[in-house]
Amino acid sequence: MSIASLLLPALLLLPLCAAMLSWFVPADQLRRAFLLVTATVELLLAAACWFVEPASLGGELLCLDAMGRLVLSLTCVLFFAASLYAVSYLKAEDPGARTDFHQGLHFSNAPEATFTGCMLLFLAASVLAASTRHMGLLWVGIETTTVVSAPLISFHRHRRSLEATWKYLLICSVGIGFALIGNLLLDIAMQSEARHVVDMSVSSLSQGSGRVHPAWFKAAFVFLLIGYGAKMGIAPMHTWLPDAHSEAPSLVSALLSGALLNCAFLGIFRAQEVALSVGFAEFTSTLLLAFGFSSMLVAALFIVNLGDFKRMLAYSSVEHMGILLIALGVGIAAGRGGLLHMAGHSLVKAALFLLAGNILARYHTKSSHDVSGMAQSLPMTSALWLTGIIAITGTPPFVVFISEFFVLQGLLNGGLLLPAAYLTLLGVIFVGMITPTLHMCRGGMPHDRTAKGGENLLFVLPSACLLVSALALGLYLPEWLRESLDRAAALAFHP
Amino acid sequence: MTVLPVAGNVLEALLGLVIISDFCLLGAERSRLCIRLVALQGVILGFMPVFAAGDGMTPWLAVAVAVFFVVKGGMLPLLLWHTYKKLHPRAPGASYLGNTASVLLGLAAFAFSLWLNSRLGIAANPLFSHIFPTAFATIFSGLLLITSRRMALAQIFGYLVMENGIYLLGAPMAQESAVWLEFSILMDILVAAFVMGIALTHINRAFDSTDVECFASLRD
Amino acid sequence: MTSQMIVALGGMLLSLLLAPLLPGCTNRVKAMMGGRKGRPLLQLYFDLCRLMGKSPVYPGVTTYFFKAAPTACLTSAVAALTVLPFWPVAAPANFSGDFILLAGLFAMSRFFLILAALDTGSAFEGMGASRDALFSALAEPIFLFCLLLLCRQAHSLTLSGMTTVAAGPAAIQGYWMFYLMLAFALFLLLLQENSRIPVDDPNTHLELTMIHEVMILDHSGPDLAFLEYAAALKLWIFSLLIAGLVLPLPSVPLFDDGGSLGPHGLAGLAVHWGTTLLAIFGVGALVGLVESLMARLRMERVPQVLAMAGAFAGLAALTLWRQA
Repeated sequence: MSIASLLLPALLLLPLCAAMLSWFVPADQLRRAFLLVTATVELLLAAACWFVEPASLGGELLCLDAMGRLVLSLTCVLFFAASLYAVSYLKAEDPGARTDFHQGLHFSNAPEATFTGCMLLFLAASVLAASTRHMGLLWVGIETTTVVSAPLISFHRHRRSLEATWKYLLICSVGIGFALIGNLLLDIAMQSEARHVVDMSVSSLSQGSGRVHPAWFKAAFVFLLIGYGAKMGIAPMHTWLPDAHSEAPSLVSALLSGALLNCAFLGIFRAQEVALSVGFAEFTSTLLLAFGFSSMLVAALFIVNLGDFKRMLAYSSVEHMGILLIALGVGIAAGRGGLLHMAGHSLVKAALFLLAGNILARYHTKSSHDVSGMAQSLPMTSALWLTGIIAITGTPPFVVFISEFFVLQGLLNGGLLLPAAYLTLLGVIFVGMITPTLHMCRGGMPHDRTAKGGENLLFVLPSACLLVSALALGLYLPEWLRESLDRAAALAFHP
Repeated sequence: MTVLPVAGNVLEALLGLVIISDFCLLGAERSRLCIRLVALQGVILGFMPVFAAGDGMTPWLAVAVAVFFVVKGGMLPLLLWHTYKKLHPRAPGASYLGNTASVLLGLAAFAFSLWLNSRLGIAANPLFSHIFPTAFATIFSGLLLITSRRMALAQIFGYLVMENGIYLLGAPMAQESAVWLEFSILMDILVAAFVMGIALTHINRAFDSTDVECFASLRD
Repeated sequence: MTSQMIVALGGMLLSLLLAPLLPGCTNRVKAMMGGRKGRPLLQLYFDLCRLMGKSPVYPGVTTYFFKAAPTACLTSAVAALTVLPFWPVAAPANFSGDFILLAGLFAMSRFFLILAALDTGSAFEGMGASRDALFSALAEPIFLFCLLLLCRQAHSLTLSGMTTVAAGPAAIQGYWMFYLMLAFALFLLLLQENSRIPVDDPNTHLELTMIHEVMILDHSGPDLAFLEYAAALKLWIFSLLIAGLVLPLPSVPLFDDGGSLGPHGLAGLAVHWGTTLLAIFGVGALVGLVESLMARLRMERVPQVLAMAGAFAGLAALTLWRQA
């Protein structure tokens, strides 16, 4: 057995076994170390995939293509950052009953073992979704991410987080159900005779251009788009997203926004890949553009004067998912930019959510009106927060600027109306996000909060690393990465 | 005496029973009745692979049928029953729409499914076109249950009914080579229902109620 | 008189004789479900005999309508039997549009019963009459709609042509869902039209909640016997209609070309009548089952039952449209 053939099973089994084991680790300290070690090994394994081409297993059941590798690497990087953060975060958490600072009710945390176990299961499910090219298995992976991330959101068992969990579970489960319908319809669309067995792997679906049934195929794509779109937070199915992202512990929000949304995007990406090869790209890109712009519009409408900095980040995720769909709809002209955007958004947004956790821990409020004077009380967090917001709104020299520019370039090929709308919405969102941020960082300290203690380096280090990598990618895109992005983009972005 | 071809008629009758249970679910208020109806649907659906197989049962298919019976007809309803016992929902699971309106909406959903079926055209698999309206109507009734009921428990019912409809939709495509896939999908649904049940018990503890009216603190 | 006619009249006679057994069967199932021994199966026969031996008592304020109602009810029930086919032969009287007569006869008997109830001037009876009028006004269009659907499916305008056997086993082929939905709708109508749980409780002793029983409170002696018998016949008619829908039995050529009973005629007839009777009593048992498993609904929720029946009739229509 060579390394290449062992790589994918190892990537999959490692977090799975670690999750099972983590329930049996008795001491909290040990479990946190265990989490960090698993995350590190997984990251190394993912890095190995860039040097050794992993062998496929069972046709396309387990098969890592350029796109899968990109999503996998992002997931592992974010998971590593999140577990680094988790070690100190979990240490700071008080296990006993506490008072909810928002509603004044008592609550307690879920057991830490459950939290760690679910985090690892979430990693396993995301890796499964990234490393398969089989539509059925992809569905299983994405559905599993929903189920195992729900307990993460309600780690703090107070009313708001439980409400958010319920909405998340229900909307995403129903959405994923729609995606399953989409898969079944895809099967039907590809069936040429009664007892014809359709192989649901993406490559073999893509070869069926001659015998595809157009009406059923279009229906299938609509269902897949709505289903995975609900999971991805595409407006108007986005309603769970701000709730879940704002009520989850910050490191979970980082994982949800940076890793989970990418997995859901992968579902749409695969559907588009099939649509492209069987010749329906024109129909699908219109739909993608429409949903993309609707997401940007909703985000722009809600983000202005929102007054809650975690919800602000969540709506920004809605916006960026919209941009991803627009890129996919525009086609190969925005191809490299689109995938770069996915990477940039994941890195920066995860960093921002982790920083939001620091702010929340110090100020005990999510209201951006009540937070001020961060520059004095949390100097490092404040600087990084400002940098992150500037990065996420698409300001040069960060990678998000480059990718948004690519998308604009692609849009410019088709008239001026869409680029104008795109730029306007980006502008509105920029203003909507930067205004409360300046207030939070500058301004005087509130009188009732004294600056006590310094900042724990472990709380800012993960975000700093993520932001630096986003900056580096913006300044210099290595040749190997560019080549890989182009290869991934060629799969689903229509020429 | 002429002998009727049994399979087609039995399938037709089973589909009829699925529709009837959908409508009863839409009209029902009491959780116990709903759980029984979900179980009934599960048992009926357990038979579906037999019809999909057509030319004969293989051992794998028999195992699949047995597993579907146990999970859809037994484990899921037991899970619901367990959750129901824990929650003791005081108010009945009344609908925002009123029962008559939800039943009539269910009727409209069935008409829409028929229209959609004729609109999308004949699929290559004749069994699929046959099952499609019933399956889609079941999915719609599940969605209707989710959106129109006050009690959070009824939303789990709705989710399961929707999944039943999806399963029905997929039944004609059941193939031996993909039994593993169906099992993993079934497993996912089981775990999802389980997690929903747990979430609901926590919600009940925090809110002293599982009325979705309570969920009003998160909004923009 | 052809032998076909003789068989048809024989079927009708069978209905007249056995109808009082049906409520007995329902009651027995209820008693068994409740863990009781229950009253004798033939209780209604005994009651009818006893009542027939008594002389009627009329309240002083009543008029002609009060006395006419029992006879009108019984007459219309018997008349309804003449247009309803008893498997497997056509009804003694059949002509196109006779299903409207069936609905009309039900309406007539209800009209007289309501008038008689109002005639007494009792507040309770008036209340029952008003409820009955409302619910039956809601039920009648659904009933007619069901029969019209049957017409469409069997391409026949007579009740005899509509029942599955007359149309042959081929008719039911592929229409299982249709017949199932229709049978379900008719079953709900049966519960409403015959004042059974969940619409009305036949055993209740509280006048405030009654519908049918409260309307016959003041009748006595042979008048009451007529009304009870008419009610039993009505239950029988609905059960027969449902039984005719759902039994997927193939038909046997009972009569030879000359119109007399063929070689297998008698045996075939016995088998058919046996199965039909079994199905009728099966429906009766089902009513008993529903009565013991459900509670009476609040009065304002009764229209929901009818809406359900309407929805199922609508579903049946949709399935018919799909097949077309």
